[in-house]
Amino acid sequence: MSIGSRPDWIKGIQDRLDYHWRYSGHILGILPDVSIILNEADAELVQFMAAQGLDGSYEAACFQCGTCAAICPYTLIPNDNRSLSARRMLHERQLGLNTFEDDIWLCTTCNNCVEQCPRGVEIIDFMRSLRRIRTELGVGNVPGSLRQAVKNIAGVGNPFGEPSEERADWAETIDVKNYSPGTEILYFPGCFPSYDPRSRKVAQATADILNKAGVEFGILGSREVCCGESVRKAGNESLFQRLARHNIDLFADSGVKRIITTSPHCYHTFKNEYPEFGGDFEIVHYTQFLAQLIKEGKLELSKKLNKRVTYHDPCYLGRHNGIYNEPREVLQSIPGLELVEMPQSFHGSLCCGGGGGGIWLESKKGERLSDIRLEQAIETGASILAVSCPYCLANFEDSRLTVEGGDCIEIKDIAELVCDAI
Amino acid sequence: MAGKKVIILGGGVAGMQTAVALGEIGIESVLIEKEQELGGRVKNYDKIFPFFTSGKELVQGLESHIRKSSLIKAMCNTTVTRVGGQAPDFQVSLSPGNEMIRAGVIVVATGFEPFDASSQEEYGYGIYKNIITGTELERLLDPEGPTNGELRRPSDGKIAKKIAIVFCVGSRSEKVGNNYCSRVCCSYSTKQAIGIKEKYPDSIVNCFYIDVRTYGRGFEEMYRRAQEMGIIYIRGRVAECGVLPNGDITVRAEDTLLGKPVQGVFDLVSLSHGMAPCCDAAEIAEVLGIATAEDGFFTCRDSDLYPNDSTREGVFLAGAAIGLKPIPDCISDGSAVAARVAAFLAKLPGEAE
Repeated sequence: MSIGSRPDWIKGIQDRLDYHWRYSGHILGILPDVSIILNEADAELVQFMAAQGLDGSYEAACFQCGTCAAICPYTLIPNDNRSLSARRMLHERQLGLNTFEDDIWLCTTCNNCVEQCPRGVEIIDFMRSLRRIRTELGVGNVPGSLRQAVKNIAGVGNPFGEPSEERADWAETIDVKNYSPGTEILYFPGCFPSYDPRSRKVAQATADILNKAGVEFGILGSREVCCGESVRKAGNESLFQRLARHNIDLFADSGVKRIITTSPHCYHTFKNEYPEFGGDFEIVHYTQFLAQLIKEGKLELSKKLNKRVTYHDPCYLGRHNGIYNEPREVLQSIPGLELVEMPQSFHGSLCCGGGGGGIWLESKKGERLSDIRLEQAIETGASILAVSCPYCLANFEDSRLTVEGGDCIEIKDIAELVCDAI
Repeated sequence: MAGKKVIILGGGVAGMQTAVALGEIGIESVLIEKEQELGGRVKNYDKIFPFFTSGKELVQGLESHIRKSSLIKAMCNTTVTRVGGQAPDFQVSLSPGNEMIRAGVIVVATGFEPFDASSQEEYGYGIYKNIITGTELERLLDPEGPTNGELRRPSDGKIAKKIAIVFCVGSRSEKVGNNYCSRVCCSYSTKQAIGIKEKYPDSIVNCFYIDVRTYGRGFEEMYRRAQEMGIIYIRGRVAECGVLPNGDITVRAEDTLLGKPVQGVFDLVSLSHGMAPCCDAAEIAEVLGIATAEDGFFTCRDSDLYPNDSTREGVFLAGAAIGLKPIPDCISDGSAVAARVAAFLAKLPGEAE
């Protein structure tokens, strides 16, 4: 449905946006005032939502305890004007109202609130539904940088707007085969490690390790597209489904059975969301795979790294998928490495701010979750902050430049540390 | 045997269960009910929370026990006018007929009175036809009730599709003289909301609450079920109701969770009125020589250890007469007081037969 086909209706919603809750007064002689009018939800919006499966099933069970709002990582960044409260938004939707506040874009889908919710409310799906209304109906504001990233993905299959033919350029310097049927493993680096210069080193390190361990693997390069994780969280469901179908068909046609991913976001999407569309593959995060190789004696780490290292649990690996131990096992098998924990680790890990499309948002200094997290890492006295997600890597590398003491700590992906230790 | 007879005042579920439990122990009792039949309030409840069992069937079950028992004598249309003597030899005078019964023990199970909603004037009960009480809503939802279970509103008989349920009417308010929480309203209102939604799935039910206190076993689960059915809970005490020319009712409150005023127009508004002490509690207290507390309910000798003992020896208390409680608790109370009575009687010096 485009704006053109429903001008009056969209305008109605837009008006409400402009005037916030102010009611213009036309019902049964009630004087206009600022009250929320109950049970006057826009019938067509309700219809749209019902047709999209957004008909209240998410918010119904919420009993407004506020755990979600209290546990939200954004509570660490005080801002009186911020209106990101899942609790409040859920209640507004219970009343048939819709949140059009821009702060819905702040949610990083870190899953902390979902894990804590006593009523099992799927808050991320709820947030996604709010964003879908905006994105798919063209109502309200979508941040420009996010809109651009999504547009790029729609056009060329990656958020950077880089040519898809260059997707495998990271592998030019190393010996990496094109995936062909019968190859044991497909390595799916994802968009960041394919294009981003810093992140490319992670893909290269991973390929190096796999080669050294004698693992038979290949890549699909320019044929693959973005997994669509942030596209879906940004509310563009139709584009997400298009991407998912493309990749699923590609994997299936290529005879792929087992996929190793670098990004926990790809991992999560392939493992938990692609099955919805018939994509049924064995998905392994590279930290799991490395842990297995080490355990089986196929990968020997002999070079010493006499450094103190702290590990940051990425939301999509930890809370979303329960993978906490393997990355630590890999780190601890590096000789000499001393692993220390930050106060917020494992289930309580503090989001870097990159999930849910957050990686594409502009954020002001002093409002970045990754800054706080980096400070936590520095406080442990570690000289290396180990990560296992390209978004975390990018965010922390950025924070390093601005956070005081950032020059005392290096950001390293686990793959890089392992590669150096072989 | 005169010393061993027990007089039970009040033939609601608490009194009935006291008689049944005493009968099972082998103790004779006389059940005094001022109305024309047993069953108290519960006999009018089609469904009781939290498991949607039938209140009527509960009463029928107790009644058939009572009918079958040779140890229980039920006297309806009867009140106590005078109590002479003392435990274990009370002389209880009844009206009408001035009959005098000797009893070893008296149990008071005189229940409660629904709060008079018209005294909370801002809601307009008694003035606006489409504002009813929870008790009336109960009758409207009863398939054997005046509308055969159809939710027809009083003003024009139209089926109500937009319903507001206002919690805490007559409870938790210094202004109406009741500081206490009536404990059952959140749950009975939620049960009624579910009943409405089950019968009319396209209806809109808004519940206005101060706190949702669904504390009992199965209550919270019922509350959750109501929410999942799409019943909307709005945290805020309704400040006032008004009426529109077509009979619809306007409701004004603050949604305290959003910090914004809300208002709505409803076909029907039900006031979930709380419970007040039984209307003749003060009189009964005087006749029996027992105390009532500040809230008007009878005083327990020891609210922790002996919640069913009154301030006078040989006089025991059960059910909502000593504070508000849901039906299963009243039944438990009946059994508990029977045990207290049996213990009291067992301790008496033996009497020659």
